[in-house]
Amino acid sequence: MIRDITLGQYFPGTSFVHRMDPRAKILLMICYVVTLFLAKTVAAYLFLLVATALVIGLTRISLKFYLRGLKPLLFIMAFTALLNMLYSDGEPLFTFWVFSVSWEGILNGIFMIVRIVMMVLTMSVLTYTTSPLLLTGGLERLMFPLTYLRVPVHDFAMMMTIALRFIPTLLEETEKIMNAQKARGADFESGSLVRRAKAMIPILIPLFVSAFRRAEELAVAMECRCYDGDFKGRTRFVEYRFSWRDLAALLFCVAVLGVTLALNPVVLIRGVGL
Amino acid sequence: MAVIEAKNISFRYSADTEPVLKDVSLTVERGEFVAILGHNGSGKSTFAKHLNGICIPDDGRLTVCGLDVTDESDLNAIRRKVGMVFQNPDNQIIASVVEEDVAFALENLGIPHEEMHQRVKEALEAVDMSHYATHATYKLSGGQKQRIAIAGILAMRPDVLVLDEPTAMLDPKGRAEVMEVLHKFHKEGMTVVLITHFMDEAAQADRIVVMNEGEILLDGTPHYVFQNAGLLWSIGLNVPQSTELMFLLRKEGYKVPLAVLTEGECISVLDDLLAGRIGKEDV
Repeated sequence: MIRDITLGQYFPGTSFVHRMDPRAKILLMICYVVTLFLAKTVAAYLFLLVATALVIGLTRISLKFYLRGLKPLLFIMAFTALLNMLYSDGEPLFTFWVFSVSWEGILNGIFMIVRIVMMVLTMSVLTYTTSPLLLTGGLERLMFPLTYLRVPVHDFAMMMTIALRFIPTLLEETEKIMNAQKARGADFESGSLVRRAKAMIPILIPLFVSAFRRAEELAVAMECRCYDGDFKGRTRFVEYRFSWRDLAALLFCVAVLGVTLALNPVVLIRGVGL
Repeated sequence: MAVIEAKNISFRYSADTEPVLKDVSLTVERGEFVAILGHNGSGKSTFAKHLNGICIPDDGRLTVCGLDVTDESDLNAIRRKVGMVFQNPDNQIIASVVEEDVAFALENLGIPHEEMHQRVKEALEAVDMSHYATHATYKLSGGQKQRIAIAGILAMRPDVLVLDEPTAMLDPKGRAEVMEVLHKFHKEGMTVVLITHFMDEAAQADRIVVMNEGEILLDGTPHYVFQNAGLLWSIGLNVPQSTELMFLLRKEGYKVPLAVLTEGECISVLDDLLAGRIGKEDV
């Protein structure tokens, strides 16, 4: 049961997007999100919707997983849209109490929803098609310049790698401890929230004790394999290479950016929204 | 040629505790398969931890592959020659993917990319885990995980393989898998030091060193060591079941050989006994 929890939703596959370089995916995802924020006209939004749908299609992951990812954000989207609707300038269509709703406001609200939806979808594309390990590796390589500012990028990446490796192990252990406590009459399912939280203590303490022991043993095992925290001269088993896929994706992103800007003549001329 | 030479080494974890190792001297020759036997707290694991500089002896001299362990300046040089495998496979696997875990030591040593892939491939073949190269490590069985841990060490191409109770947490199948791999390496010329408290595993070695309370009690071939069943029992160790049976038969006056280690030997002795080829003397 508890082992079914998947962290950082990743759907293994061999699609075009799956096989892209994780570094390229991270960078292009950022570019794409920026592009989403540049769109100001209905035409631009329609175009971006089509482009996003195309990317999602390329991942070959069922649309329902993407929609499921949007669910927790429904409230935030509704709230943001409402605020935008009520606080936009323009000719009021109707007014009630202190609020006035204008045509521009409604449009802004809709834009906001579409923008958030597309942003979440874009980020989902990244996390659904990139394993947490590749994501960590990609981030480590992209953050490399920060090492000159004495940011311990490699150490963070090593910590992430080990954390990812131990998630299933610790989940398994939690399940074992829970069963052991249940066998002794512990009750985790009933009672008030406070009671249930208190019932977690006999699980957390053994889990922490064992995690510390594991950490110590792991540290010794790492030293036995010549790990000394010195990343100079370290080589890598997995090397990332940009391929034609990444170039194609880059061209696609540039094209999307170009078209979006081109569909925004009002912005360019007047410098205001819509 | 001796790969491990310990001369009168002593060690205590802190100044106010009993020494864990008292004046231990032991020489291991290249290509030997040595089992170090002892109950919990006998100092066998602590001794193993000295072999690649995890622990440094307080007294005495310890050289491994010609390198002085007390000289802390180059522990990595010692660690790549003496590979160490531990009890819990879960706590020595670093990466989530099998081949990436096997490559960990090579990454640390700065082995070039091409050679690294070659070595990882060879190490996985050696432990018969090639099919699992791209699998997730946490989904493997205990025996498979331990073989991956061994492959991770093997990729460094060490001269000596030290294993600290590598089968203690495994089921019988996993134990058999690991022992099979060890025998294979030994045949290929690797020096193997196996720390264990399983008698049947120790019986498979060339030589058994029995430790008790930080000292070496017995040192010799399995036949020699298990002849001293009385002494082993007195320090809380068991002998293989076959040896025990022979002991009990001896007590009853049957003139059976004492040093019977394997089931096969045992069966042939019992055969002789039932056929009347082994006599009984009056007690």
